[in-house]
Amino acid sequence: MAPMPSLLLVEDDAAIRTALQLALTRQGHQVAVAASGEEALASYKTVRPDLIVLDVMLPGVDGFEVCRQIRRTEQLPIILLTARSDDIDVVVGLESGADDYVVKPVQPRVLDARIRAVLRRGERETSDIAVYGDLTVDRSAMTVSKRGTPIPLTPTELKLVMELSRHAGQALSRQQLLRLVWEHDYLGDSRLVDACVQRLRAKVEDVPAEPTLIKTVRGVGYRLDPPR
Amino acid sequence: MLKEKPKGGFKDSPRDKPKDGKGSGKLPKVQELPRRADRERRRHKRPLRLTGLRMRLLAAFAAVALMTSVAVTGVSYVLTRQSLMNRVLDTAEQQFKAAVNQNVQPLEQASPSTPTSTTTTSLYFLANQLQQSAGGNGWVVNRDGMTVGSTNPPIPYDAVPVDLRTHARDGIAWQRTTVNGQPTLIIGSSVQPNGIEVYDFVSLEPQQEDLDRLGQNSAIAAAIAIAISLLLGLVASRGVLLPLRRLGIAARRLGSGKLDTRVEVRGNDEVADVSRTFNETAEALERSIAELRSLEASSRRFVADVSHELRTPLTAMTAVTDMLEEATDVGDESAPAAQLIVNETRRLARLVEDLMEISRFDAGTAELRREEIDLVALVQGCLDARGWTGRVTLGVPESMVVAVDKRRIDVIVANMVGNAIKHGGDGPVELGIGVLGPNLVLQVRDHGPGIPPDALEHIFERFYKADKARVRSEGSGLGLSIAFENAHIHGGELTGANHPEGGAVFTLRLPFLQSGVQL
Repeated sequence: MAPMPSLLLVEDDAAIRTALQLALTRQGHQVAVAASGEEALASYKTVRPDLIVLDVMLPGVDGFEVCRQIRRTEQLPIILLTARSDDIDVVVGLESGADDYVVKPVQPRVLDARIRAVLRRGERETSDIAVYGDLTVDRSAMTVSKRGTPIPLTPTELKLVMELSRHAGQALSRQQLLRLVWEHDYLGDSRLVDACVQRLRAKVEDVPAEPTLIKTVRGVGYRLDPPR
Repeated sequence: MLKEKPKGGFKDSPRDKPKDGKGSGKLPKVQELPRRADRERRRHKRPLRLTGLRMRLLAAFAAVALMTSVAVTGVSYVLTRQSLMNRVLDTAEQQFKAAVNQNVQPLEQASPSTPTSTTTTSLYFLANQLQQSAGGNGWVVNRDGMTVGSTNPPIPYDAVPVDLRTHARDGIAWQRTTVNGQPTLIIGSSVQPNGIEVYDFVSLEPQQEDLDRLGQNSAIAAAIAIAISLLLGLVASRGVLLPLRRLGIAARRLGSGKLDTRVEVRGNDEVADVSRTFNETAEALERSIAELRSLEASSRRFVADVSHELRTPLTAMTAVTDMLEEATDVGDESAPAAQLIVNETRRLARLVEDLMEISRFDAGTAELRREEIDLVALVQGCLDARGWTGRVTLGVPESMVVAVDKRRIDVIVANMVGNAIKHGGDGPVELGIGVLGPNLVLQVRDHGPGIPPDALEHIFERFYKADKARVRSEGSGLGLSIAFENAHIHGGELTGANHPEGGAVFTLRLPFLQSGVQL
C-alpha cells in the first residue's frame, strides 16, 4: 500500500481549517494543520509534509512570506488558497514560488485533484538521459544537473523540464503545458506557466534574462533547445 | 489565414438574407442607432440668429440714433429756413417799400389826374428806376394790361401768380414761387389811385443753397451718428453677450459633468448676479452629487464587504458539503435535510461569487487579462465542462484565434448557452461564431417562446426575472448582468432579441483583436 500523502494545511480561520481537514482526510490525505504563518514555519520541518496547502491571508507572517521562506531551503510543493477578488494576489503568490493556486470557496474535489496533480509531478518516469549543452536531464533518475552539479528543483519545475525535454525542439503552448504539467482544464491560468518558467530559468540558465536553453516562442509558448 | 470567412453560423432563412450584399451574410444585420454625441453636437450648433439679442440691440441703437438725428436736424432745418426766409423777406420788403416810395409816388403825384397819360416809355423808365434803386433780379410793372420789365428779356406778367395779383390790390403782398427754375420771392403792390402794379422778383438761390448744404451736412451728421451708435451698440451688446456666452459655455461644461466649473464674477450688475447664482448652483450641485456618489460608493462597498464576509463561512461549509452529500445515502430521515443544506450552500456560494464579481465591476477593479486563445476550443471546453455538448448545435469555424480574457468569455458563453437551455424548451440550441465587419460575433439561439416584449430592455438588469411566477431559479439572477459587464470590459456588447421565426437570440459582439498582443 502506498503511503498516505501527508499535507500541511495552513489556515487561520478555524471553521475553514476544520472543514478542509475533514474533507481532505476523507479524500485519503494525512492532514496536519497550522493556524498561522509562524506556526507553519515552525512545524513544517518536523511534520515533513509532501505538500503544503497555504492560505494567503494570514495574520502576522502572510502566506507569501511563508512561501518565500520555505522556498529558500526546500523544493516542497505549495498550493495557495486565495481570494480571487485580489487578482494581484495570484501574481505575487506565483512570484513567491507557489506551484499552483485554488480560489475560495474551494470545492474539496477540486483541491484534491490539484494536490494529486502536484504530487504526481515527482513520480519517476522510465526513460533516458538527455543533454542540452551544460544541462543533463536524467528522466529515469528524475534529476537535473548542470556541469555535473545537481540542481534542486521543485516537483513542478522538474515536471516542466521533463515535458519540455520530452518535446525537445518543439514549441509547447502555455495551454499544452498547463494540461501536461498542472493538469488544468481549458481555463487554466497561463501565468502559472510563465512564473514557473522564470523560476526554472533562474536555476538552469547562465544568464536568466538571456535564456539559451528554454526559449520563448513569441505568440506560442516555450521550447527547450540544445544551445548552438 | 485567420481572417477567412467563418464556415459556421446560422442557416440563412430567405428573409434574413442581407439585401445590400454587405457583411458576412451569415449573421443578421446590426441596426445602427443614432449616436448620442451627434445629437448633442446638433443641439449646440449656433446659427446666426436675426432675432438674437445682438441684432435686437444693434437695431435699437440704430433706431434711436436715426430718430434723434432726424428730429434734431428736422427741427433745426425748419427753424433755420424760417429765420432765413424772414430775414430775406424783411430786407426785400424794406427795399421794395423804399423803391416804390421813391419812384412810383412821385410819378403819381406828377400826373394824378391824367392816369391815361402814362405811357409805355414812362413805365419803362419806372421799371429801370426801381431796378436801379433796389436791385433784385428784376421788376415788372403793369398798368391796365400794359406790362414792362426791367430786364432783357423781360419777365412776363404771367410769371406773377393770380393769387398774388389779387392780394397785391390790397397792399403789399408776397409769395414764394419758382421762376425760370429758380426759387424766387415775389413782392408786389398796386399803387393807388392810378392802379400801377409793381412786382419785385428776388432770387432765393443763395438761401436755397445754404439750406441744401445744411440738409447735406445734417444727413452726413446723422449717418455718422448712426455709425457711432452701431459701434456703441456692438460694444454694449458685447458687454452683455460676452458674459452671457461665458455663462453658456460654463453651463455646457457643467452639463457635461465637469462639476468644478465656475464663472468669474465681474462688476456688480445683473450679469454678475446671474454669474454668482450660477456659481452657487454649481457648488450646490457638486456638493449633492458628491454626496450621492459617496452614498452609492458606500452602498457598493457594503455589498462588497458583505459578500467578502460571507465567503469565509461559505468556504468552510462548501468544504464539507461533499461529505454531507455522502451522508445522505444512508437513507434516514435527516437525508433530505442534509441534501437541502448541500444544495442551498452551493446556491449561496454561487450568489456570493456573483455578487463579488458584480462589486468588482462596480468598483472598477475588474481586470481584463487578454491572451491569445482559440475561441472555438474555448467554447467547446465551456460546453464540455458543463455537459452541454449534446444539447448545442455548433456552427463554428475550425479555429479562430483571438485575444480575449478566456475566463470572462467562458462566463459569457456559459450564461448565453445556459440561458438558452433553461428557457428554450426542448428545442435545439444553436451557437454560431462569425466575423461581421470589425467585430467578432458569437450568437446563441434557442427555439423556445422567446423573450416577452416588455422584458426585452430589462433582461440585463440585476435580479430581473422575466417570469414573475418563477420565484426560484437555478441561477443567482446576476448571470446575464455579469455576462453583459464582461462583454463591456472587452469593449464589446451583449444584446438579446427575438428571432423573427421564434426563440430568443443572444448576440455577443467583440472588437476583433487577434494579433499584436504581447504574450
